[in-house]
Amino acid sequence: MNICRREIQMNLPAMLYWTVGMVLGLLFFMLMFPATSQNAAVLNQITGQFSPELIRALGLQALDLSTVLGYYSYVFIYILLVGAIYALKSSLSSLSEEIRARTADFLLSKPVGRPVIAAAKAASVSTLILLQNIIYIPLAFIITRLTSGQDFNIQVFLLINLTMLLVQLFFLALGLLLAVIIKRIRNVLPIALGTVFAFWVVQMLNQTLADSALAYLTPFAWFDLAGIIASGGYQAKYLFTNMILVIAVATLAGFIYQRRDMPAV
Amino acid sequence: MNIVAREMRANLKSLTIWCGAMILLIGMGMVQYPAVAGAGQGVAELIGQLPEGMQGILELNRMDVTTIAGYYGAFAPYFLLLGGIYASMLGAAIIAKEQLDKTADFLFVKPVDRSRVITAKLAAVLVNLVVFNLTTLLTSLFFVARYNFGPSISQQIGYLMMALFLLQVMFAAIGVGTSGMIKNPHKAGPVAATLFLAMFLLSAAIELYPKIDFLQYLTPFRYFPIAPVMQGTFEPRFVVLAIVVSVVFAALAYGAFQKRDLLA
Repeated sequence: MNICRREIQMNLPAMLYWTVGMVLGLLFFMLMFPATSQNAAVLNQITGQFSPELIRALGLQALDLSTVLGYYSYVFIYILLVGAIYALKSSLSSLSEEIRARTADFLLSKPVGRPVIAAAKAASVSTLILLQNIIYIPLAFIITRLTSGQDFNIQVFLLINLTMLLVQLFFLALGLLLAVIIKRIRNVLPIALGTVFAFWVVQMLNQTLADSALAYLTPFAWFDLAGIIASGGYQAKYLFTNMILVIAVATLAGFIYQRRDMPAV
Repeated sequence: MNIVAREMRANLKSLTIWCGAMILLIGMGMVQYPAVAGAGQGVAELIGQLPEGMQGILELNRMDVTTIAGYYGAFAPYFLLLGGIYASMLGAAIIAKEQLDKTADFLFVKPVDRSRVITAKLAAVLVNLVVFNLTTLLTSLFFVARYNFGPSISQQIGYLMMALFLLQVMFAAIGVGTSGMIKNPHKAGPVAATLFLAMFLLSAAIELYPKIDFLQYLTPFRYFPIAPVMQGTFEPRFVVLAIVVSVVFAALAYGAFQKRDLLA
């Protein structure tokens, strides 16, 4: 419990800093909504006559940018990217911090088993991510409501936003695993940025190619926002993929952490 | 020279991983090309059937992914993205890591003055970037040649690599420069990453809403638009800007590290 509380205390400012960045980014994007939605409406009239193949070949959006939720989803993908980087960075940093700061022997010699330590750290990052979403979603709602001046389906809005939490959980688990399998982590950010952007690029490939096998490979493909707007729900197969992977990856990380050699000073 | 060699060895692992990622990305992408190329009519034909007014709008900034050049060009933004991350993180860490690893006093008591150490480190960054670019270039040429049955597009790929290299040098310089300006070595990486993400989001915003394109000078992602660059058209002002920014930030690094109080 102490470990968890201490971790949260230490990492709270960074979480707030990232969340402020996400909210400001969203505000910047949403301020452009009124102008963009008009352009999009004109473009829609043109592209409405196109065949699906042509739309895909031209790289046009499946999302309707003239509606609030369509535009929000388009923008949200970038916010999601930032959120994912935060999640991976936090869990990677949390579990590898002791070795980098050379405090591993200090912490591990305390009368607390390694599973408890690993669990406390995972819990602290989860709490921070949950807090981040609790701060972000209401602010996002207010920003979207004010900049658009329109009503929209709140339930769908929530579903869109909750995908961030789900994707973040995956990256949290992946961060734990990377923290225990990489021998010496000097710098957290290059790994975090590289990994998340690699998944992001796979998603961009997946969008261009519309390959359903590729979609399992990247969490960014699991929650198709255009589909959520249309159907008002998630796709069960990807939701299960997400949950199973989160649990499996985190458990694996726990096992490896248990047997890992900790370098002393 | 010793420092360059030592830096090369120290960064070899991350260079290998990044090059491996590029090879994987290009390979994975190009393998899918035959499926896309075979799907239905060419886009050019489809566009040809549209009223004339629309043709102009669409052909200006879209690329036809059913041709090999257009397909390859569709990946280019991701090369730039990944190459940019690699370069900016490399730049941000190359000098700051001596302080992080508490090896600064070890290095700087050697009979080599600071400016030479910094020059050697910048040279090492440049060599790393060259290797990264050559790997990307050769992999691209290899995979494109395998699936290309039309005219060669090697020259277009070459132009794209020039843009990639310029961009990477710029990001690396920005990384080194910020790590010089930020006193706390722990903050060097995060600040460089924040800048990078802000630039990336800004370029996405400009794409969404072209009226704010006066901001494009602030984001290197907008300096080299893929379609014209692949035709060999570089806008001179952006090339000059990229070089000026690189030189200024590298100079900032010299200035800052020359005077920094390195705590042992």
